[in-house]
Amino acid sequence: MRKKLEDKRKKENTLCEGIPVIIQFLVRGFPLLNLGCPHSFLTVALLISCSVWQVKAEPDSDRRLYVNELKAPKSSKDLLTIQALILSSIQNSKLATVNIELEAGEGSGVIISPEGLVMTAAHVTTGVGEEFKVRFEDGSEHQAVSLGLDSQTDAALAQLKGGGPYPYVTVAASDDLKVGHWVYALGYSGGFDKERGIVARVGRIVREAEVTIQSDCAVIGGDSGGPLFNLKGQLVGIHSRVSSSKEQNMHVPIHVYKENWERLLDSEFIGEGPFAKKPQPGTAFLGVRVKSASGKGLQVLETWEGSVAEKNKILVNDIIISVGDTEVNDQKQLSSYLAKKAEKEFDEVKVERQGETIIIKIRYGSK
Amino acid sequence: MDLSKACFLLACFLWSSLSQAQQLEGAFRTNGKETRQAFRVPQEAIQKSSGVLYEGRRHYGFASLIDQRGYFFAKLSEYQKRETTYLVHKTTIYKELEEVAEIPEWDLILLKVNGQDLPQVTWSSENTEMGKWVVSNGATSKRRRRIRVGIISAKTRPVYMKGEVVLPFSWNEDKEKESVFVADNLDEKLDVIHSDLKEGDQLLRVGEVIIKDTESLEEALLTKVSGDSMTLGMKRGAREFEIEVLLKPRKEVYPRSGTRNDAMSGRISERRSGFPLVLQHSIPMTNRSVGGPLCDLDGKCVGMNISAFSRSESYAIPAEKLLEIFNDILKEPKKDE
Repeated sequence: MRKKLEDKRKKENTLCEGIPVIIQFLVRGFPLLNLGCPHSFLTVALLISCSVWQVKAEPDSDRRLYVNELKAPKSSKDLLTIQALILSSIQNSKLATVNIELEAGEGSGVIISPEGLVMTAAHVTTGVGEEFKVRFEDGSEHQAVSLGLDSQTDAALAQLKGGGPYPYVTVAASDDLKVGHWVYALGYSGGFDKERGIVARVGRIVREAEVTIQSDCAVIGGDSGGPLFNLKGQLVGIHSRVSSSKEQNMHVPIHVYKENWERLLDSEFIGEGPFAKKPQPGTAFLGVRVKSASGKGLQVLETWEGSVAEKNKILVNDIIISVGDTEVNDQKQLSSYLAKKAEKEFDEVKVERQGETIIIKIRYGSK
Repeated sequence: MDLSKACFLLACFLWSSLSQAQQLEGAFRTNGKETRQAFRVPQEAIQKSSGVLYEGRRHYGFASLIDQRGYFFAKLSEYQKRETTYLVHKTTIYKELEEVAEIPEWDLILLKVNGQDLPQVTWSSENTEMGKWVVSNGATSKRRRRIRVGIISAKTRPVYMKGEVVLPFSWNEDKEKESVFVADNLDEKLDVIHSDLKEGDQLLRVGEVIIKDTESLEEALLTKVSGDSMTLGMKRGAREFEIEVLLKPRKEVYPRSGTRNDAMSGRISERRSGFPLVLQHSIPMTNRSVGGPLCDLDGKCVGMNISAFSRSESYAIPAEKLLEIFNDILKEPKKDE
């Protein structure tokens, strides 16, 4: 029975796609016209537009996705179908796949909006507010900043600076992926290599768990944070980690991102690891030597070379009035305030310089 | 059967069904037995055009049939490591192998067996597009070649020897002086031809390249292969002199220097880069599965596997280049003629 229904559906799809719109109109339209619709001109227009819509709504690629339902491909035709689906989307997928370079190493990511929102892995960005370089396959470089991350599942977002528009891919619906579906992986295996470009692999989803999907696309260091696509060219996962077996490659599924979407966009550091280490309070370092000023505040006597204070142009003889929302009048107040802050945390320093009040935005360094 | 036993069996059954629903059986994975059934055409081509190389009872690699007259290409650096090799094609064992030519630049050796009317290989003349299926040898028995499958996975290009071959001694870079100095002379152990080399000697030139830092040294060795001889310009105090050295594989000089990616890649090829042109594909390979043909879905040969580079990257010499090399060798007059 089910087979009959499937066969019927296939025939219907073929009809929608293979036959010119005007014939579809004749086949579909006459029964309706025979019902004696008074607005025949409107009906004709409506029917033509419906037929056109149906052709668009049931593209060839959807029909060819039957290969996902097969336990294994049966013939060259099935293999060619998988190949054709990959070929139809891989060029666009490549355009949106980027290399990410931080001090700690290289990884990959994928752009999911024309404004340059990037999905990647937490162990690639390593923190919130990290600034880094992003490279496209052609070698063009852009600056980016990491947004939020989930250190327990390895999910992370980043944002390209600059307005775009950037090439991007579509994210699949969360429940669109099943064990056995065919997928392909892209990434910068081993790091950026302009002559080689992006590396592709084909495979199947071999296991599904709560916050992880596993494929047999063999990924390696440098691919981390890179995209896993379904045969429609939609993003279904982000490369996270591997085991010693080439068939065991773990990816973060899309629903993990969607569940924490707002928090990730708000640059929140979620969880306590293991994929990223949350900076601990007491590790913040400003890099100034101060003494109490004659009125209020702290007078800067010296800034350490390479420190946050020096980089943000806090100058000798500036009077630090407050840090964050805390007024500081002696060294102890400053020390106890910094003891609650962590490296890489953002803050504001209010200083007086030659009678002028200046707010300096900083990001703490480490001792 | 008592109730508790029945409940236990039922629980086992349910658990087993559940775990099967969440996990794809091995046979249906990309390189599983059932999936491979669909690749019958290329599998026949692989069977027809592969030779298996044995040393004693152990197979150590493959060879690619090039010509019906019995010519096979094999990976030179693997072949050279063996004292004796015999080749099995289909079910025929060829113990006498004529070494027709060595082509170190491509890490190839052309072998000839005394066979008649070997099958004709069909070559592909089409461009290999990224994303297209390819098939190569997997595990093998003496009679039957199994296959492994993947796709063309990156641009076709030359791959250089970056970091693969090294000078046979350790060195230090002095960034302030923009110079490189000998750190530890290992000449006796590592065949420095000229033994007059001491710690602190400055390395001025490698071949014609002036050495100022790590990058210039890497640049000088980029197109070199293990075993190449290089002239080094050296300086000790005010005296300048030259020495001759043989380049070594990195693993030999720095046995523990593999990267994290190497550690997760299993048994990769010893010579894995330094080829004038390669096709890259995603078929997982080992050092023992290279040397054989790479075929497309029609069973046409698109190349010969030459390197298991890493867990996710394998290289093949494109068919067009193989034929070009083969035809050039046949054109050359033999030395005794």
